[in-house]
Amino acid sequence: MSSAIEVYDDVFELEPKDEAVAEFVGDLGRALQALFIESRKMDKTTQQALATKLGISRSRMNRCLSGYANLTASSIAELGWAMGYRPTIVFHPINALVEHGAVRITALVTSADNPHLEATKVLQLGAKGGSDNVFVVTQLTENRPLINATTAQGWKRVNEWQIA
Amino acid sequence: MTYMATFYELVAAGLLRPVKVKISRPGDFEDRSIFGTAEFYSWLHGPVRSSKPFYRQDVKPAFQAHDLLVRFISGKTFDDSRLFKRMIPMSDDVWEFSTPDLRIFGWFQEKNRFIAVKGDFFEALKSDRSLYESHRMECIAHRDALDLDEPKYLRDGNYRDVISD
Repeated sequence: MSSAIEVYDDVFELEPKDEAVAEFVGDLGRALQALFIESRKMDKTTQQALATKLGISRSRMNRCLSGYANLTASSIAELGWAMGYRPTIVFHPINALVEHGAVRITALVTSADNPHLEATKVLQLGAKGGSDNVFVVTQLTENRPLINATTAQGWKRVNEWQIA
Repeated sequence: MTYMATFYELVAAGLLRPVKVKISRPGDFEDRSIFGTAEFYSWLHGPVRSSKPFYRQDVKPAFQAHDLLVRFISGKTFDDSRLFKRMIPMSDDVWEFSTPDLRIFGWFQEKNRFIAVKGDFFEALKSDRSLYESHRMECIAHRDALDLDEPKYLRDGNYRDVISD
């Protein structure tokens, strides 16, 4: 019984490549759904009307808007066109923070002595800084730093930060 | 006097298991949590990983599960619209999470803390609609059987009552 937590505490992970696919397809699906909702609001567009416009079946249109459809580039362009939009794509570096080498920290540290301690610093990785409050970037895993800050009550995890 | 366990005692005893995903997007943190029964855990780490999508055009169920879990745990909105619901209330405070291939049934122990009792595939539920009711009943039975301090779960809640965006 005592080892139960260790056994059960494994993470539901995908291969990093698959994780990138899942994230992108999910985002794309939500973007298309949001676009359809907006079109519906503005022009009373229906899935049937879009399907007719594209010469596909209503059920095929429904599948395209499922949220997890693995659409081709031409399908994405066609769906955008049918709703009066042109898609664009922007690539962001996965390891953005490593490339920047610095983190602007906007700390929101909750503690009993100061429930809304806020401060902004720009730090190099691994550096410490600040006068009243000390921040330290203790770890960088991929694009997510682990940042801690001290308060009168000891070290606290920093919950918000921005890329410098 | 009858002793009732706290939520974390049930987790420590292995009756509920934390469902974890890696949150890797910049600025995202764990804002909500999911705990699952042993059966749910086995389903997530077993059949979900190996299954294929019902509609060939969709990405694998494992991808759908990962995206759903990441979005929930990192505190993203689920209530995008009435047209494309990812979270559906059932009666008796049971909730259903949904992707094209997957359905997850459970209840909210407190705000932003979901207890996943049962998972199933859209394909199975499509061919036997009575499974919805049987899964809902299973959630209620699981909740009733848990030796947990009151208030044991969120009652009569709508979307805004059970999760915060």
